[in-house]
Amino acid sequence: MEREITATFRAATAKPDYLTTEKFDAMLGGWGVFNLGVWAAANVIAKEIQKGKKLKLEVTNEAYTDVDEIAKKAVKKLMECGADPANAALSAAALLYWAGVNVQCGIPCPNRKLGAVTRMAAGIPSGRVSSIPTEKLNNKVSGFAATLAIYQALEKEHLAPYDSKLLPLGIGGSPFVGHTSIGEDHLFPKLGQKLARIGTRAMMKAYESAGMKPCRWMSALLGTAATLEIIHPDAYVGEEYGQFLITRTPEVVATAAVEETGMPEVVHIRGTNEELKTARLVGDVALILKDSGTPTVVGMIMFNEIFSIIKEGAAVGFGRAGGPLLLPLNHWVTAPSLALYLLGKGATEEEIIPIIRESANGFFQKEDATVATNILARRAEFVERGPLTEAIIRATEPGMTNAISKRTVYAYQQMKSGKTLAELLDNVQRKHIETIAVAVAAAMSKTLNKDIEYIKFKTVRPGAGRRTHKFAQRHFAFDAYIDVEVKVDGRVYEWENLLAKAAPEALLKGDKETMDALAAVGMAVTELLNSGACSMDVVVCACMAAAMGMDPKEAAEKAAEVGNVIIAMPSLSLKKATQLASDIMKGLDF
Amino acid sequence: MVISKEDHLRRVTVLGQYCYPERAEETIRLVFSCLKCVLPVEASGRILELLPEPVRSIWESTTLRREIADGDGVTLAKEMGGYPYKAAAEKAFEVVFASIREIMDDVKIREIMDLLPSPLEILFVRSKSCALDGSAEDFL
Repeated sequence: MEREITATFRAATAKPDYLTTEKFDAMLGGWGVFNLGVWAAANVIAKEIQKGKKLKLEVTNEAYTDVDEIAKKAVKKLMECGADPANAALSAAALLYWAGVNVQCGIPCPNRKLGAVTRMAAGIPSGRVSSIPTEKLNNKVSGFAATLAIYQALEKEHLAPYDSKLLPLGIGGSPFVGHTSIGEDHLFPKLGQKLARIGTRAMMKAYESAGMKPCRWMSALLGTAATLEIIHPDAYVGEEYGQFLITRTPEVVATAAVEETGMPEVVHIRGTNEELKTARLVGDVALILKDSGTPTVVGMIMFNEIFSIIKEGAAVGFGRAGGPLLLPLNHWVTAPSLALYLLGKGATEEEIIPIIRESANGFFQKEDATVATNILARRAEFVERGPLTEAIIRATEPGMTNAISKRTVYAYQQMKSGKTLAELLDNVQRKHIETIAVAVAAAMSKTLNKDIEYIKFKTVRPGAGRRTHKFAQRHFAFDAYIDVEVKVDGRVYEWENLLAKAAPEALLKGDKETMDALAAVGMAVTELLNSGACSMDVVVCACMAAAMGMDPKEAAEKAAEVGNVIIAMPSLSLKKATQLASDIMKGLDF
Repeated sequence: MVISKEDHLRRVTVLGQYCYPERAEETIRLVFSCLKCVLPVEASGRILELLPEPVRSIWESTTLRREIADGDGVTLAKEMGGYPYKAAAEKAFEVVFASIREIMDDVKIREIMDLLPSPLEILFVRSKSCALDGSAEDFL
């Protein structure tokens, strides 16, 4: 083994932070995200599962159950990692849900609901759906849209399936209505479904009106949750809607919301393809949302990412970091959520590992996704060790080792043959961009059911001319210049300065044909703009240059200058990694 | 209690949280097939006698998918059913056992349980109720 290879491999992988431009320590303050808290809390819950604690809400005659205790531990861990109490409560509830806890049981006492359990564990007041924001999709809206539309409808027309004035004195709020055909066959399901449609439609409209593609999952959730604030959220329903002791109003209401959004009736778990009924999922999660307090946008981002274990993913709105795009790592919680789900279902570590490994196949850049998951798991272990990070590290360590080793050997061979760092990295960057183009063309051909023969990035560099600031001229993410050509169903489209000129012009003119064609390349461009989440290509080259004698600071600066697309934004860790490579090299005596 | 095959499949669909009724029949046939593989012929015959309709007809019409089986039925079911982890195969047994228990009397339930190999007997006991709702266990 050449010493330069050893030094480079070790320096690049010495700390998780070295393989990304992300600021891992800041993630622990809750500033914008608290995903490491989600990783840690998932480990906390997993350890409780392994202790044999009962993850079930039951109609037992006791003040507190195992779930209350676990909820407190999970909430505490999330808050230690920067989560606001309401965000901690909501995330803990979502994790406990995937761990196998049912969302509700009992009427009237004990009437346990998972959202309320975690909210009370956090010691915070209840909230209202009108105050719950959506996750951020550039902009965001809130459940206010659903609540407003529902109350306007209630004011404008009579929505109950009977004339409420006819209800005799004394039966309002009694089992005469609530536990009989009147309530279970008529009032709750019929009114609930009407309200859910109104609320969900209003959410979709609000998204669109505010310049966003409507998030179907969030629209259905908040439409359902707003409805459950009005109709009985615990009632059983008539047999035509579902079986006694099994189906309650949340699922029935959610059925209408799901239909309204056009979501698929059945969704699947990543890596296992297990089927879940969408209406049941929406009903369950809407009930959690209704009860768990008032989260912030940051909390909603994390909450939504916990649901990225659903394979249908971002296309329907279940998080965004589960693939295919390689998002900034501060979104990533798919692996621990999925591992927790599997552990809760009874899967062993040996069974979890291949499933986690398989989930990387959902990304355009599989190797980068594996490395990203690995470094997050390793960083999360600083916060809370546990069975999930253990399994995830075992699942990703071979892939990470393979990816870094291949790059290290390649860099060594190229530089040994006389290439400069700039020449090496220029070539690596071009290959990286080309790999993304090929992967996106193949995947989007299937998704759009079109023949995307190729995507060619002709020019990709910082400085599109929208800004004159030096910083924007240096860093791709802040003013990206892209010339791209794509061939779709035999027709060639070519755009110059796509992001600063072609795309905004087409969108503002309402040029549907161009925007439809852009769908073929949009993901590839986004993938480039997110570059840096996993910066291994740049880090390995820079470390190799340092190991081969280049001044470490100079190596880092040159790498950042040449690899200015694939690290996209400034990287503090790059200099540390090159310095370490140089230090290691000096200490090797073989 | 006599129920129709459709009602039975509907119940299995609910117990297993399946999204399609077809999954219920697939699961029942998979479990029965595995049971036939791992049980001695006499035990298999006795179970046939004990099972009520419509389950008996499904048992009878389920073909043996393998002549010789190794290990317990769960491992076999995981492999044959393509389950991603063993606990998912165990859940399939629990769901089918639970649905049977709901339509049989306690004496016959006891007899079937005694005919099962110990790993499956444990699942049979655990299957007393795998209803989804936390309230249900309390009531059943």
